[in-house]
Amino acid sequence: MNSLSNRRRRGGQNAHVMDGFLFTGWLLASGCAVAIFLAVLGGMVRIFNRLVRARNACGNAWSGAETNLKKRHDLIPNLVRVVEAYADHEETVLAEVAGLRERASREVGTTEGMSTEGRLGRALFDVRARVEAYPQLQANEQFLHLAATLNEVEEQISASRRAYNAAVQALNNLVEQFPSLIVARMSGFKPREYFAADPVVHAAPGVSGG
Amino acid sequence: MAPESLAGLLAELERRRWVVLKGYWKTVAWLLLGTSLVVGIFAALIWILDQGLWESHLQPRSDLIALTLFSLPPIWLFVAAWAFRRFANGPKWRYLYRFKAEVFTEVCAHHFPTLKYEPAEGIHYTHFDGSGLFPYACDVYRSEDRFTGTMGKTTVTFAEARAERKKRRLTSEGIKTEYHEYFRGLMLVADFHKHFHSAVRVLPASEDFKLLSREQRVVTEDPDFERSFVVLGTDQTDARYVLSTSMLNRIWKLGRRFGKVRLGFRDENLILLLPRGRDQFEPSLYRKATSRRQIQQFVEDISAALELVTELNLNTRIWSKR
Repeated sequence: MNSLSNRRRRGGQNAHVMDGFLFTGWLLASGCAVAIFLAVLGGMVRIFNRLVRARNACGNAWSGAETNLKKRHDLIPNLVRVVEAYADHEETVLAEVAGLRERASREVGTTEGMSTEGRLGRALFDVRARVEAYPQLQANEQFLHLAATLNEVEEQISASRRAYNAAVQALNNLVEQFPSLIVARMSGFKPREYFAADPVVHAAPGVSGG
Repeated sequence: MAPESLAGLLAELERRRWVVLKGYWKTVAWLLLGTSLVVGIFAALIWILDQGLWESHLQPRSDLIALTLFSLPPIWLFVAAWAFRRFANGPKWRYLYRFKAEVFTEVCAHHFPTLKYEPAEGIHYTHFDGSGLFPYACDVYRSEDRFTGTMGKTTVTFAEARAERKKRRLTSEGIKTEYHEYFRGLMLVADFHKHFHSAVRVLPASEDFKLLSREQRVVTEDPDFERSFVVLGTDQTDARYVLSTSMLNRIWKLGRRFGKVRLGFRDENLILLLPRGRDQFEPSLYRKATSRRQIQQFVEDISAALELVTELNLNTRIWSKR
């Protein structure tokens, strides 16, 4: 009788202990799962914020580039007017520059606009090469000032392009590398195009750049 | 090499140099003799005390002997330091300063008419610390041999500079203060050839750096440059405007030639710190005053400093800044 009640008592105690172990185990497992979930969520939030910063850096760099491109567009009419007064035989080149300038102003911010800017840069380089045949123009104060300002703007465009490309590279690295590409795809981030360089020197002919 | 007008002055300085040199070595010889004498007396007194010879009739005077023993070295040290400064070092530095003030100034005016040489002047420490090219402020700063003027179209100022930092160390005898020299070389401040509005620092890549307010790391496209230098700037685009691809290449070549160069671009000026292992623009007491080599070295040192302006292409003014 006593041994039976003892066995019953011990069986009840063991059941309590087992329940305790199971509960603790369940608690631990839940805690780990929650911690892992929070860690993953935290990591995803961090990656998302980095992607946003990279995208904003691209936007900021691009707006700087647009500002400098616009400065170039604003200089061109004055340049054309001054050159026209001295260089009668260069109407074709000057007309091309004016036309490209109009087109580039309309296409700012587009892929076609980038290509037009490249052609405009080459046309301007062509103009500066041709004006060397006009010594009177070379001595003109207004032309010298415009040329110097244009050189400065071209250097600034080059700097903006380099800054934009660096920002795009940082963004593209995040979008294309694991594990940030998971967050990028979930959030709709896409790689961007680089701003291709003009295959032309941006300084006055015969003078080395800065 | 030296202008003809200096022939008489150099001859006079050479006579003066001999007098100073003889006086210098005579003073050193007397001080060595005196020191030997003091050491001999010291040793004799120690021996007397050790042998207990005072016990007999010198015993009452043992205090006097002990006082003489322990006060003799510091007294002698004080006297020797004073004598060395008065009769050896003082005349030496007066001769060297006179040589710089009269001969080197004339040579500089003759070879480099657009430069003014001021041997006792330097660049103020605020320019050095304010450049941010080191992560700490200097505790001891010395600058001398200042040159101001123009090189082509560029306004330039350069001088020798030395900076030391105080470090405290805990030793078994307590806290020990030491001074470590962390820069010794040429500091050059030049008017940069472009207008720019931000601040840029170019530091050696091998060293730790701290970002200042509003600063970001600027990663350039030149892999050789990136291996040697790190660029920090307050504006990504403006930093790239200042550091064009050709400028990056020039700075890299400068680094290959001189080692850990540092450049700061601020307020439309360039600040360049060039480490040098030796003192520049210095005559020597042990070289003849009439020595051509000494004057030639001085001219070469100036030319090397001015060449930096050419190497960095600062005279190319094809932009709106003239």
